[in-house]
Amino acid sequence: MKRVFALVLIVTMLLSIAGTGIATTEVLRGTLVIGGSTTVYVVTVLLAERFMEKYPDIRVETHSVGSTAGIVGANEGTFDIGMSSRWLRGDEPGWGLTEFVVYMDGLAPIVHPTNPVRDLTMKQLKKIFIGEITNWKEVGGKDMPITVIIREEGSGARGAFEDIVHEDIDPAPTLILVGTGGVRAGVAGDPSAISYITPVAVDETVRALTVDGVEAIAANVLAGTFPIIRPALFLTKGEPSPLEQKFIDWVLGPEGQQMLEEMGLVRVR
Amino acid sequence: MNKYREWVIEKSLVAAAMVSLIIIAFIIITIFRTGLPLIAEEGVFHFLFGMEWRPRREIFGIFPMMAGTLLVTILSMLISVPLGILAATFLAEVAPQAIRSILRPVIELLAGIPSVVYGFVGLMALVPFIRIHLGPPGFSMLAGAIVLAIMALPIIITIAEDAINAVPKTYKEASLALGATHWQTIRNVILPAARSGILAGVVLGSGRAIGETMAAIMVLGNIPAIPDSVLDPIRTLTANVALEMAYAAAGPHRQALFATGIVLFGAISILVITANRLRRGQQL
Amino acid sequence: MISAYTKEKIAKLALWLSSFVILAVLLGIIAFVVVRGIGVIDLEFISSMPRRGGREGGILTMIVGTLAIIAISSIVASPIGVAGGIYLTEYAGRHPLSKVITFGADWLAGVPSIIFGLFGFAFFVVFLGWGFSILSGGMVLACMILNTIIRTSQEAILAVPVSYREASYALGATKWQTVSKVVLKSAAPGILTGVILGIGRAAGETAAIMLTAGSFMFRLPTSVFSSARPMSLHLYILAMEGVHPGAIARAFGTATLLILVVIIANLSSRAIMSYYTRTLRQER
Repeated sequence: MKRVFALVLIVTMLLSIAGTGIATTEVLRGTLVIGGSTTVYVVTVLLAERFMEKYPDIRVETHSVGSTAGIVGANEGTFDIGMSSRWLRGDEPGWGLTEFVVYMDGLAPIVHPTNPVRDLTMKQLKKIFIGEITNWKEVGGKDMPITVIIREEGSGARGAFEDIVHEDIDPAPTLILVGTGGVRAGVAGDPSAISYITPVAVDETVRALTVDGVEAIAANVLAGTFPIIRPALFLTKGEPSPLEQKFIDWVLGPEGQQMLEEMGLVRVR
Repeated sequence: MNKYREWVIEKSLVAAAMVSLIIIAFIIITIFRTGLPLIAEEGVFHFLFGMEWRPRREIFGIFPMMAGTLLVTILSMLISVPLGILAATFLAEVAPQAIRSILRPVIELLAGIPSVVYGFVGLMALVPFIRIHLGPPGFSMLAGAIVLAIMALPIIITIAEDAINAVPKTYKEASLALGATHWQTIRNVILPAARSGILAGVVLGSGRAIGETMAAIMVLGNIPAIPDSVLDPIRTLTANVALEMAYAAAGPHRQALFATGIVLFGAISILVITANRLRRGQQL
Repeated sequence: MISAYTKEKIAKLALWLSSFVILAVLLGIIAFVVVRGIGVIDLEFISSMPRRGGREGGILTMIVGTLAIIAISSIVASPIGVAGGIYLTEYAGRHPLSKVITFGADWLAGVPSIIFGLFGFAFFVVFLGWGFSILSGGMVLACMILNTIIRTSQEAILAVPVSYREASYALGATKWQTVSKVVLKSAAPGILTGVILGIGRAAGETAAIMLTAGSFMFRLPTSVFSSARPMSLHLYILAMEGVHPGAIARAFGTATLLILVVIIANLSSRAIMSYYTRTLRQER
């Protein structure tokens, strides 16, 4: 009996090796259209670049159109893989999309480097963004009106920030600027401004605030102690096709996750 | 045989000439087909005069954008109309040939520079300038008006110059013969005679300002609210479409953006028709 | 009371000043961009692929994307535009249809590019299923530059002396023979300037392209159904998404190239035009 079992095992193993052998000789080729979140896009283009070096027969087209459009695009078939930087919400979970969490990301409140304020509580953040606090002196800063800069409608960062920080209340912005770079440049140029971006994009032109005393760094995002966190999602309609699966597997595999870590992101595998 | 061939050729030329009309028809059909249902559902009044634009809550009121478009266009015309008419008069009446041959290409070049380049310069130079010298946030109606004024200038100058040149030389000669100075002649005879043509230029110039998209997004700050001062940010109708179109899912939001397009298209059409009638010198 | 003489002086001064302001604005814009952008442009910048999301490397794919979209739009729009121009000048006469068609072309010229974008998105991208592609973008641009080509062809054909046509008819040529062999041949350079100006406009167009051609930039396009990102859109994305100093430097480089394209287009169309009018005058 044991022998039979061993034989079956060996045969299965051989078959599976043969199977994978066949699969790898059969070269996957084609075009993979990926679109969505502008935040995840920045990361995905770098991943796609490396992936295409490795698999020259696969062309990965990446489009930066925003999370909502990425989710809808994956559902409508405009994109093979949709990118989102927020969880699905509203009707979206019912559309039959498969979610792959690629990495976890925080959203750091940013201010001008000359702003003396270093920390805000979640409550203060909420009040600032919905317009109940309008002057920096109310949160321990200088006496100057706050320039509240938010992202454009449909941005995943905006969606996630609204969901987490001020839930059901609409924001009361001073400016709406386009893209991570847009809001960062806006804050960099205005001593009284506040906005939010992924910690990865924080550079010397702006200062990231701590929230409730917690710094927006990878370890705190992973531990869940930093309060404003959101996922980076890949979405496929139903189960991924072999081509889609190949890219997703590679991104979630050691090579992709290693790249993410090098970019300062929080790997999920 | 030859006759048949000539007939076929003539008909295909007619067909080619009709293409622009066909495109207009297609534009109208596609935009109205997507946008009208939403206007019908929201109600024309609510859509046009609603003060709030909150796509996430499916509240679609475009009044702040209509006001923003109108205000920034008026402000830009306050800058570009006097400058444009002066320059057109200069080109037609005063400029020596040598200066004219420098200015003409300059104006063509101004017309040819892509709007995204204007927006980029506005973003990198004008916005910080306004922020530092006039106060934050810099992204403002004023920044937009200056950029749009520069973009509308070539149209105003070109059409106004044509209109001035079209004034019969005898008018001018008669005025000068009566002892009027050159400037008196320009002011009292030539410009009034060219009035409707100049006005056509102003109308088409405002059309350019209203229709401009990229430069508007880049410098206006995009807040859908009615501004209190020229230093406040605004959002134009064009910016509304361009900002959110890429994000908008098929559904009410996308429909609302097409509906914004309908309003924009309507406004531009009225301007084009007005300019057309003015240029033919008809009384409105 | 200021004397008429003083007024004349002040007015002339204002007229001269207006043109210097315009000249200064153009030079200021060009200088601002070129001074910071020219250093970025070298052989590597225009001949290598972008790396690391556009922060490093060149803009080869963007240049190819621009060329591909321009090629499609000019190949589609030129024959239609020229044929339309021929019909309006040679065939239509005082036919009421000609008025309608001319108005249609003017109308089309006034339609904002974002409306073309909405139309192109709804029609080419979604309805015809061409997706975000060079073909969708090229077709939309073809619609946009049609008016330029119709108008300049019209002017060029009108400039051909009537005596040429009369001579041709006297020799027993049919209308089409006259038009194709005599009129078009002499009008060709003028028509070419229209096409070049159309190309100049197409190269800088952004808003319509944003909604139709997508924004992919890491591989060269393999077919007309590939997505492409032209230089103008690349500039916009770098300016707005540029989270890296390398990106801003490349934005200035790209803006400089766009301005160069427009300058070259304008200079070459001027050169052709002046050559053309000279030869016409000589022949007459």
